[in-house]
Amino acid sequence: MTRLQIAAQTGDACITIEQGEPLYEQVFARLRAGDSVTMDFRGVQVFASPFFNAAVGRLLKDFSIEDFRNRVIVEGLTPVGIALMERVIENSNRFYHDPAARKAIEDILNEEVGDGADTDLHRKS
Amino acid sequence: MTSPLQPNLPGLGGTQHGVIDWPSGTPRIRRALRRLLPKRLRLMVPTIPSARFQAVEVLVKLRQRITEPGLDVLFDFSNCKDLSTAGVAYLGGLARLIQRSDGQVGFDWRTCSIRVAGTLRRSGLAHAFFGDSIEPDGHIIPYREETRRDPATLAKYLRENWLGKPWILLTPGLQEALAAIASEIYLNALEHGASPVGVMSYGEHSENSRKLRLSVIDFGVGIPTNVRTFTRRSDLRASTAMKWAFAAGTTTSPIPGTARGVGLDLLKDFVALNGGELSVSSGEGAAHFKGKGVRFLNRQVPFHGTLVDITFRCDGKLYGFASEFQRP
Repeated sequence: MTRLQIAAQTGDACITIEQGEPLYEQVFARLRAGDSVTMDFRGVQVFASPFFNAAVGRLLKDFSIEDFRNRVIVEGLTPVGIALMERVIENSNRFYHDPAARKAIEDILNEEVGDGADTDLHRKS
Repeated sequence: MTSPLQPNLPGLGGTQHGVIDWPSGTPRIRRALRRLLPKRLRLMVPTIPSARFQAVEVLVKLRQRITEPGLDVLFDFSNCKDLSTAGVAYLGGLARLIQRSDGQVGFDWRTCSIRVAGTLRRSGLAHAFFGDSIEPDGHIIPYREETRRDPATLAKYLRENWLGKPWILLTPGLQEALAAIASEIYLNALEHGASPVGVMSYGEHSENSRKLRLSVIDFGVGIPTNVRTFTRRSDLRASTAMKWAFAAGTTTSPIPGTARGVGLDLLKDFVALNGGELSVSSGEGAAHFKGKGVRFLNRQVPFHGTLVDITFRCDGKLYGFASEFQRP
């Protein structure tokens, strides 16, 4: 089991893709080698989805969600961080493994949304 | 930082900070002076209302008055009774756009009411352009310009202005949730906006209503254009493009094959659970979220850029801090 101290690498904010990518590489290499990984987020105060997309979400492309949950242990996340990461995992799993969900997104492009004029914009908002 | 316009040319008077007196003299002298002097515009800033889409209409008309590059612009507040959060952020961005086209910017402080002058100073907008001292106020998120996506700088800003605010009605968890939402908004604008002057923002907290209102503006290409380019669907209605952009799993990021597109979806879900309100005006499109209601609209006159206007409820007793991020 490998332990990664996230704050030591990113500081107290995990927010950008650029911060997430090196962590993805580290976790991916260990999972590919059959290892398990603990991601220790103690000391991180601020989170944003681009970081989680890059660090964690991308793992769902090559590992099933069951495998991911069994071998990637997350510690020290704040409740907001947990909820945000779960949202990213859910979204990533759909993106990589749910063709129906991707089609539903594409179908939006064929909808006629709105009434074609800004008639609503002058109502009191 | 650009210095205030200094009327040091013949026929001009006025020595107050940021004030320019227009050429005096006979019409013939004024015409002659105008040929010598740089082109100048006295821009009448109207009241910028807090009502969301009404504010956008006002801002669009304001920008339309700047008809050519290289103008020196004096902001005149004679007709302005109030500047909303969107107004402060927008004026800052507009001023940077003027400077970017080699124009100079001034505020005619003589035309400001006490209220408007107070907003310009308290918000930090006057400090950003003229170095005026900032009147500290624990109920504002100061005017900010973000030009690059630097995690350390953004994190420091979020920590000092969102996590550390002494708003006693906010639980620590809710402060953290708001900081996360704020970072989503800034990062989204910085990554996708392609704004030539970066991203401007300003926020105010009202003790009376227990609400925090934040406006974030960029002057980039807008969401509908981004979506049309990414999907290669030039025929797409702006309202359809907005709906697509707010759906979970969509992104116009150029990085292929990577799951993205959580930020805007997260934002709208947060607003639904928080009982807040979100409006986004972008290019020819607009979106409005209030509670669980949503509208995607088309604008007849485009907004050149993207304005995110979000109101959070801060009476934290009603909300669990993590529940804002869970599916409603």
